[in-house]
Amino acid sequence: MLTVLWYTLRESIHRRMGLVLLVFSVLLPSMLFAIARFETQPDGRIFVRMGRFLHRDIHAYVNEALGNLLNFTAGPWLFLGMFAAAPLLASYLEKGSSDMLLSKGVSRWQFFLGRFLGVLALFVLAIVVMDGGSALYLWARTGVAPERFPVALLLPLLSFAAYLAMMALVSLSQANAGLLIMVAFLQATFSAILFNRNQLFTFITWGWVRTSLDWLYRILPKNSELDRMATSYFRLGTYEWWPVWSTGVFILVVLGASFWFLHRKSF
Amino acid sequence: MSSDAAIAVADLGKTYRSLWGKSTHALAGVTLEVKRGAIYGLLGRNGAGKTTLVKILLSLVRPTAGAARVFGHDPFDSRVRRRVGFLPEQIRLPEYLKAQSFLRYMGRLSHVEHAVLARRIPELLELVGLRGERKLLRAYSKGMQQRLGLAQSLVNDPDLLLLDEPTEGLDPVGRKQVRDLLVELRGRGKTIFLNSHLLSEVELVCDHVVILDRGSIVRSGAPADFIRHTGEYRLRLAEGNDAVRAAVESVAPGARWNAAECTVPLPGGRAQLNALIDRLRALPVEIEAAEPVRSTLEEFFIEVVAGNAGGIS
Repeated sequence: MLTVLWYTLRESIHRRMGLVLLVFSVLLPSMLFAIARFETQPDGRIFVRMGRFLHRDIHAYVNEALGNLLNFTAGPWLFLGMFAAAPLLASYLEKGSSDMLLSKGVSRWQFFLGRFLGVLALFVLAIVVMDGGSALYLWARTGVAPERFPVALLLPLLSFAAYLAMMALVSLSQANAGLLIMVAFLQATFSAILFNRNQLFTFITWGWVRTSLDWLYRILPKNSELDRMATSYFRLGTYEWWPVWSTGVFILVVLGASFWFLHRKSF
Repeated sequence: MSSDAAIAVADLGKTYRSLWGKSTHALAGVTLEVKRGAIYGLLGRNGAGKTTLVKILLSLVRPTAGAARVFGHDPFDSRVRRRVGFLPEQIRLPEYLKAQSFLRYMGRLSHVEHAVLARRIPELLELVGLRGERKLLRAYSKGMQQRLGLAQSLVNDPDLLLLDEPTEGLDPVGRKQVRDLLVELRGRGKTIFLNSHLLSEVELVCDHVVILDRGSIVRSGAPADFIRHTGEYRLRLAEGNDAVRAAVESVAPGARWNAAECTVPLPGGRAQLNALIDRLRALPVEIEAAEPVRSTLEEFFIEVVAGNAGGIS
């Protein structure tokens, strides 16, 4: 499984979208910090000058910078990650590839899980480079420890794993990268709609539709909530367990279903 | 089923069902036993069920009836697949790798130790004529891909080798090398299950041939059992003028001529052949060669399959 994980990661680096994700993960914080000048005052305090603007509260500056990066991670980076993940999830199932790989001495579930974790590792790598690197840089320059930031990063990671699990399941039926991206976008859209379903209830009066939407909300992953919660947890320390554990259960169930389908599948 | 056999399948069946309930029988009641240390050739038309059979032996396809065993175990047991090498008909190589790292990847998937791979990979690349290649696999020609495909099937030093069209895309020299390699592997006690459309090659290397048609085995035996004397002889003469042709016709009517070479039906066998030679020598005309005409495996295959289905599609 580790072999599959490692070679999936290598493949992701060689594919353009994986490379783009990593290059952007370096470029974005580099640009952000390129315009910041750290000035140590005679009394030891550190101010941050950004053009004409001067940050006098270093704690506020660090929180704002990391909060912005967290927004990127839980927003555009998730979508970049989907684009990078889709061809990786589809490629090994294509004709000529699946026969060769799945006839080797590795169980199908191990191969599948290795592939899943390999793609996840790409996203982790992007987070480590962008957010981890930034947090360490700011800590070194300002002495402000990025409290709650590492834990907050786990929330978009969980959200990405939920997208990935769904894409991996669909790939077993149709190994088509375009379709997998569409599935992920639909999941993101539904997640946002279901999170804000109370607004819909203003227009929808049918009881069975409301009940159905409530149940869908309970069953489906809470991507939208997790992404918002990442920022709120980092800035305010507020969190809820419900979106976390219900999304975790969703991922486990979908992975279990994938193992079962893969086990039954003929290539 | 014998657990001593490399491959044992009994009453194996596979039916594909479409969403609309339409059934296609790819295999129906196939029973087969492949002895260890032999080269088996699997022949059949397109859609005969050859690839399905091979895929069942590799756990890529689930049978709908019967059972398959590889070295006495269910092929779905990944441990038994570590003793098997496979070259698929259509190979899609990871374009971002080079030959060495690709073989390392394939070897690790078969749980071959790093130290063993470090020694074996250069040997394999040498064997398939790719030593020193530094290109990414995306730059490989079809022939090079096929050679590397063959190398990956050998990376775990398998006891059983399943090859689907192994000489596809290779030049005549490459084909000869593959044939020699197969014979050498057999000499080392390996079992080889070969699926090929090139019947002349199958004839040259296989100890046993199985002909599959419409999902069933229609013939099984040694190639020599299928290749027989047709009752005709081929004579190559120094000249083929009218006098010579008349002399041949007087002894063996119905000869077919191609310049100074003729194929003559001689139902009288060797005695009639000698009479013909005496007649020709009396002319006199020089005889450069005389040999019995034997049917090829290809002719036998066409005869069997056409007889079974009323024509080759």
